[in-house]
Amino acid sequence: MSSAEKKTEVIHTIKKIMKKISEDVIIQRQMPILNIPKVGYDNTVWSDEKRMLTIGDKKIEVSPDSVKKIPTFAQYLVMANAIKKLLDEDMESTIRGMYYATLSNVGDEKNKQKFWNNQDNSDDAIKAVELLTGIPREVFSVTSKPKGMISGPIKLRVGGDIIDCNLGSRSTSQLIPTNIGDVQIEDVKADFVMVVEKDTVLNNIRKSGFIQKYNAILMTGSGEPDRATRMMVKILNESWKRPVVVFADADPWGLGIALRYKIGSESLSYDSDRLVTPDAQVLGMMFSDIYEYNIPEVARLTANDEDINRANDMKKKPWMKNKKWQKELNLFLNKKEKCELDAFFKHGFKYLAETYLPKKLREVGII
Amino acid sequence: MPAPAKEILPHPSDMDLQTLKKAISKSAGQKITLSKILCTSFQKLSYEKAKEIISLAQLDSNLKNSTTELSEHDLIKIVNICKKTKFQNPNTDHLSPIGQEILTIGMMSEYTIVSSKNIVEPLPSINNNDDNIANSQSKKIDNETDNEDIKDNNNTTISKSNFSVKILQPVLTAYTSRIGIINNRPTIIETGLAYGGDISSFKLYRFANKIPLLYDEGSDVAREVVSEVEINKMGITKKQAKEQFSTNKDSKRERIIEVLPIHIFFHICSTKIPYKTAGKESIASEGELKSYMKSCLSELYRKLSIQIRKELKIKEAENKMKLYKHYLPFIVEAITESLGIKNSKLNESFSLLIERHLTKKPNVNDVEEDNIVKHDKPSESKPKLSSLSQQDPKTEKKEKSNILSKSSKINNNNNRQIDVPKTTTNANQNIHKSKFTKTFSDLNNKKKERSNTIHKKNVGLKKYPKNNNNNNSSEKKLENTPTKQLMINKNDDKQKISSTDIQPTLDSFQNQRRVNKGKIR
Repeated sequence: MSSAEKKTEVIHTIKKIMKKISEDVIIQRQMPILNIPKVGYDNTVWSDEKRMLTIGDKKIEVSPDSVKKIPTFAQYLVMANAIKKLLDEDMESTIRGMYYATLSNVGDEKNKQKFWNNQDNSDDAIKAVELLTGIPREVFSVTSKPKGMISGPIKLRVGGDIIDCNLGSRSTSQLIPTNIGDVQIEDVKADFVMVVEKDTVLNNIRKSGFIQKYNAILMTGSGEPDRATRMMVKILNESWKRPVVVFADADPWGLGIALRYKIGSESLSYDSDRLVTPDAQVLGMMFSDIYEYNIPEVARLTANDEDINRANDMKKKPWMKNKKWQKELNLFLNKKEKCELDAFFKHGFKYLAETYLPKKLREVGII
Repeated sequence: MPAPAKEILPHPSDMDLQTLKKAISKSAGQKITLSKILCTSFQKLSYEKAKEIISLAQLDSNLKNSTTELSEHDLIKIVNICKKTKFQNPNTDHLSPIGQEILTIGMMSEYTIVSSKNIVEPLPSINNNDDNIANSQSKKIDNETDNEDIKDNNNTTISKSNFSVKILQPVLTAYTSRIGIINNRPTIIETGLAYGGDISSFKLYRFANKIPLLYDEGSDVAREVVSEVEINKMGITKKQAKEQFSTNKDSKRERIIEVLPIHIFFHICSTKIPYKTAGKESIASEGELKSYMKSCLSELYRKLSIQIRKELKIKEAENKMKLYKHYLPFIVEAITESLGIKNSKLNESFSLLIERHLTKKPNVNDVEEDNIVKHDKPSESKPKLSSLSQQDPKTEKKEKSNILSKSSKINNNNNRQIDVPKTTTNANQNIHKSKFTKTFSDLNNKKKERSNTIHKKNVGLKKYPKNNNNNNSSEKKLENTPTKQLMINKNDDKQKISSTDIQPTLDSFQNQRRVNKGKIR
């Protein structure tokens, strides 16, 4: 389906929703109800078959019948209308742009308030429109600020132009465009894809000549990965059959980020099918690596209560039932020590790229 | 008028050597055992218990003609044992609390002393003199002129009262009381609360044995109690209170209670009020007094919570309506715009739908509780104002009780007639002459008056002729209603408190003293 067709579909869907509401009000004389799948912790289900987090059956009803829901109802409709307008004008916008486009005051002089309290509200509304229409927001041309980076022997076609990410891959990386609908992968020459947690680590590895030496694609989501990064990883893994390995910090937070690629997240569980790469391998940094690679004590960090709670939580999750992971988590809970990938710099700036990573990759037979 | 106090026997836990000696000397010559003497001259002391006490004191319980045989040392022993022994709580017949009915009447009326100039010489151009009067009272002065008109019409001879009575219409009044033992003496703590309606601001009224305490509020235990009892007992949070009642949102008043339109009344009734100073201006937090007061106030707050929550709900419903009003355009615009149609029908039907939806909701049920008097909102838009001489149907009840009490009083003491109007005119003239420069010594004298009541009783009262006694029953009311409140302008309160304030309270105070004395000695 071409992007233009997709856009007409979106407009059509939004119109259908609006029509339903007005019919409810004028003809049926009843409160209109928007049925939206519930997103969040309590409506996220682990699917053994798909090996990812998926959304459950719970729904929420948004209807202007209570004080709390009127603003929400109005917000959703206003956002849907704004998206329709955006598509009508054939424009693109970031989520922040949508926030400003729909910003206005509510109420009289006496108690004036803003239509959105902050951007989070408008982001939620965009999400709700996604859920209502069942169409991802990239199709709406609503995107977020790009933050994922890619470097290595891969050619992307963005619009009419080709971006060769191998050019200058010793000294720079390309941002992964967030309007992923307009991005096509032209050619992949690499043998495997390596995803790291932070861009600082990526820069270090890239500079060492890792890409050229092992013929790899380096990617990072700069912390929590955005949708475009996750989708890129998935496409490379499933359409281009390249193995994906993930390296993150050796703490529950870093592990969480690594798992975003592998199993998905609760807040985007409704879109897991597009975003999650179940075959990705989380290789490091393991808690046992802290001791195996003799990270000096000064470079280790003491785990705080939040870390401990997270680790305890994780231990119970079905996707962590693997003996290896249980062992790692137990080790962490015993030692209460965490460590960042950057700690390898203590052994020398090239240690990470030239010793640790190759050794890890060899263990799983990727190189 | 509250029920008069009755004479009772002293309580043994409050026994001292003198009381004991007196009890024994009463039965001198008679052949009664010591234990018999004890159980007949003290309350809540059975014969058995008396025997027990005497045996504890290692005395012969069958001793007769005791005064001669008992040494002072033995008596002290008995007193000490009594102090350690646990007795039943004393009864409180010897105390005369205000009672719910009268306190409620008091809570609903506000007495204001108005400047005298107008009254001494009622002139048609009365408004010219308003400059001398605090602005806040100008309303009442208008009312005062009305009173005078009425009085003139009635050809009353003593028409120059300087009191203006404003009948308040609070939305709710509540009353609660506790009986406690403080310093071995039974104490009745009465609290009242009036909320909303005409009441526009927070005020605290304190009474000790029906005498209003006017000064030194800051150090009084009541002030502590008010600031220590949490406002959330009313069912609202501090934030809500601030949002709903605070007129000036930026005001940084620490005590949130002060933004509420509440009048709080404390009356402490005891044979011995734990005053802080010899000046009898404030009450100290002694023994469990504070906790009793706190529990009283908490109870009042809880009673008030029903009303406040109801008001909050009403407000919420209003907000809801507003919310719909504000958000509806957004919804309608979004729909019409995206459908690309102009449909005014949508707006109409939506409003209708919402209206129907809102009215469907059940109303909050009114719940009546004990000791809560809910006052219907005044049918007239203006608050009712009644003068002293005005025969208001609402005050009929009051007068009735006043007449009753008056007659009983006459029986008690024929000489105790007080001419209120005359005092007031005197006071007026005083104020008028000194023009707000009334000296402090004058006030001190009045305080002395209060403390030297026994002397004053004869000297002070004889001054007033009898003849006005039957003139005006509502004037009597003034004198006798102990819950009379004084609205005092903060700027010149000292000038405003004339002898009239003291007089009626003096009367009741004397009454109280007289009764108390009889009981204890």
